Amino acid sequence: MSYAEFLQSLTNGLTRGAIYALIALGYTMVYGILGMINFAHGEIYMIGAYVGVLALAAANALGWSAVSLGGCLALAFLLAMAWAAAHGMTNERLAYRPLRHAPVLSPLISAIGMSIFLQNYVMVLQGKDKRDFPSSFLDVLGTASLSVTELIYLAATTWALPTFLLLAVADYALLAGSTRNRFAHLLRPAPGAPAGTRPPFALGYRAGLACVALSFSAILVYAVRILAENRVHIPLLSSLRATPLQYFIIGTSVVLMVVLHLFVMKTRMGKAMRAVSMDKKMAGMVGIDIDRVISGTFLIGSSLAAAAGIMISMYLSVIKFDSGYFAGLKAFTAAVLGGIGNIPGAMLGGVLLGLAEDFTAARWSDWKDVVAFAILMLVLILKPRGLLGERVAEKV
Amino acid sequence: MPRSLSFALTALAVVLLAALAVLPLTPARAGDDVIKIGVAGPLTGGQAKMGNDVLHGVQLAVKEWNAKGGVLGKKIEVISRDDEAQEKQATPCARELVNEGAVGVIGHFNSGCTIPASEVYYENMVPMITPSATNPKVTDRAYENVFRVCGRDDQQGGVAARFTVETLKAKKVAILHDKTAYGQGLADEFKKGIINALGEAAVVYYAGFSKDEVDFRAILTATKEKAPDMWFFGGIYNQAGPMVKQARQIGLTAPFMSGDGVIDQEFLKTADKDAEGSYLTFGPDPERLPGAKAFLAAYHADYGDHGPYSIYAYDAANILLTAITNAKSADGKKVCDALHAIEYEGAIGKTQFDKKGDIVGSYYVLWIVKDGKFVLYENK
Repeated sequence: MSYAEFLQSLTNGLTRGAIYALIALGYTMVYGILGMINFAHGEIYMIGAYVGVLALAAANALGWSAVSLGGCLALAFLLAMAWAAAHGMTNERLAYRPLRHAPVLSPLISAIGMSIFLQNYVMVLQGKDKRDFPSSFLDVLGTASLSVTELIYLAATTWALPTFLLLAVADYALLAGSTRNRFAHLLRPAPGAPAGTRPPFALGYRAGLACVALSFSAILVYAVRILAENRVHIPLLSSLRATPLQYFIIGTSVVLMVVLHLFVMKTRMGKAMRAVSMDKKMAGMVGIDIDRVISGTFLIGSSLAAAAGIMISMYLSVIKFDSGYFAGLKAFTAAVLGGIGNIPGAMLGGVLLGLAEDFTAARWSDWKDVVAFAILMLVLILKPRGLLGERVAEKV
Repeated sequence: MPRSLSFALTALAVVLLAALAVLPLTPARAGDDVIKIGVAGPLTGGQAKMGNDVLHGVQLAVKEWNAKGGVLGKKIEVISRDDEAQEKQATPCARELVNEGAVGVIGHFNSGCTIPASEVYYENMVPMITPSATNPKVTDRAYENVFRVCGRDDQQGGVAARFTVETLKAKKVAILHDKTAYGQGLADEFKKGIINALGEAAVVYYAGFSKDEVDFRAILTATKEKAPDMWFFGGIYNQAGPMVKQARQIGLTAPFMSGDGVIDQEFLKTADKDAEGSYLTFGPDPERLPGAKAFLAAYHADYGDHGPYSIYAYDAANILLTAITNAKSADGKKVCDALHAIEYEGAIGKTQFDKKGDIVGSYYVLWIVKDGKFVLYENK
């Protein structure tokens, strides 16, 4: 394998892995909370892809695509995610909730039944033929491949302002996170002060952080601009090339995963989800509405799968009613590889599986799927908790 | 329950059961007054477009014959079976057609289906004419009931290889295929032609994948790595579309060439701009054939745009019905003899069969995708 082929396999593998990771999150979150494998999840992903493709075809027919290709694409993503989320929540309500206290195999069988039902339902409504992704929407991203260096330079010159703002926000978040404990006394009202009193230095502390973050990001953007003007060659990054579509897929996946992470770690709902996954009964006793948390889990998992679905239909340019089956199995493998029930594990598992598959397929195309499922078996035998898993997958 | 009511109900049940038992027989009796022609091919699934092109071609021919009074004084009926382009479905479809009393079959569409199905037709001595199965093995077994109105992959692969060497002046060639009888057969014939002209080393890459695969990036990356001057695919349009699109995305810019399985509007629809400049081997252009004018007008009126194989199916059906007329019988053996003797002037031109059931004469020419259309390649 030459260096160029290695790098190409790396980008292909990362792209595929990002998509597996997005689907795997749905499996792992549901497992974490309900302790069941939602085998209909692959179908939700396929339905998301269909809704996206149909919405874009409709946008073409209505002439909206002439107004803004990017806007149509964004709308299609939102619509597909909303539609798939509705499907996912309905599935849970109809097929899993009535079986919540049944023996563990019952919801599993119900999920398999749901998967077969959804696949056939799409086949009846949409036909057995493939559907094409409307290719005019791919052109909005451009087709010429870019090296990572070129992408970074582009970000620092053409898109300097958004890059600057994004970096500033990220810097601020990092700084605030890493210094919170050290300056905790400044952020809390003095002991014994009446309720509602402003903490003494909170505003100044925040303003200071913001200044540091803004100047950091300004320096960074400016430095990269200088590199860009001199066309400095960065060894690895200059030869690592990908198409704009691949950057789009990897970028969108990363953004969605960061948002998910923040949601789970920072919000009330996220905290409730973590509590339910630790101990459902106890969480119910302290007043958490378990049904709502479970619905929310299905909502999030399904909309992530729908985003993955649209992106795969862009990437492969076709979608079929049975596309979800295999992708679902692969993502499940990724979830097990990373440790089922563990969110960062699903991300890691997805990327590793994507890379393993693409590096195999580059040499021995027939062995791609064999490798994926061999990994599943080896993980189950040697490390049933997965790479990052905490709990043993004893339920299935 | 009063006695009379229960008696009435029992009587009703008996009558209904009896009706059920009699009903299936009724169409069979009526069937004596019609001559049945079978059509088999992929009517659903990824290759449904081409299967239905064939069905429509046959239906048009039969409609015209029926308007003239049918054949042997009987009306003609078309019965169709969907083999889903699955080899394992082909034999059951063939059995059903034979059991339903088809006196001849137009099909199957895929070589992989035609070869096992032809065994069934051979056992029952039912003449079959495939409009599209190009694998040499279809006729090389020299079954006297098997015919085709298209060319053979050894001719097709040879034409493609000669064009690659002489016109494209390629020195390094990559070959991909879908592992089916048709796809791999065509790829192998092409490979043979290249090796004969340029030697073993000219084939820098040769690989196959499942006919249901949709992600070709890895194999295309490996292809690109070998830096071929052109790449060839033995397979069907439903894979060629996404494949060409993905190839251009990863930067494989060498010319793409494929065979008759790819020459369909669906290929252009999926691959869109990326299809531009693709080379394909296929038969002559119906639009330019003087004999095809009437066929095209009638077909467009009934079914819209013609597919690549509509005209071959139409001629195949006409040839079968003419042979039945010539034989003055629907008996399989006699019709096969009549087919071997036939000289038919049809929409595609004159058709004659050799001993094996192949057409006499040449067939393949080069096509290219230009401005989003398939046009005949003209060397300038």
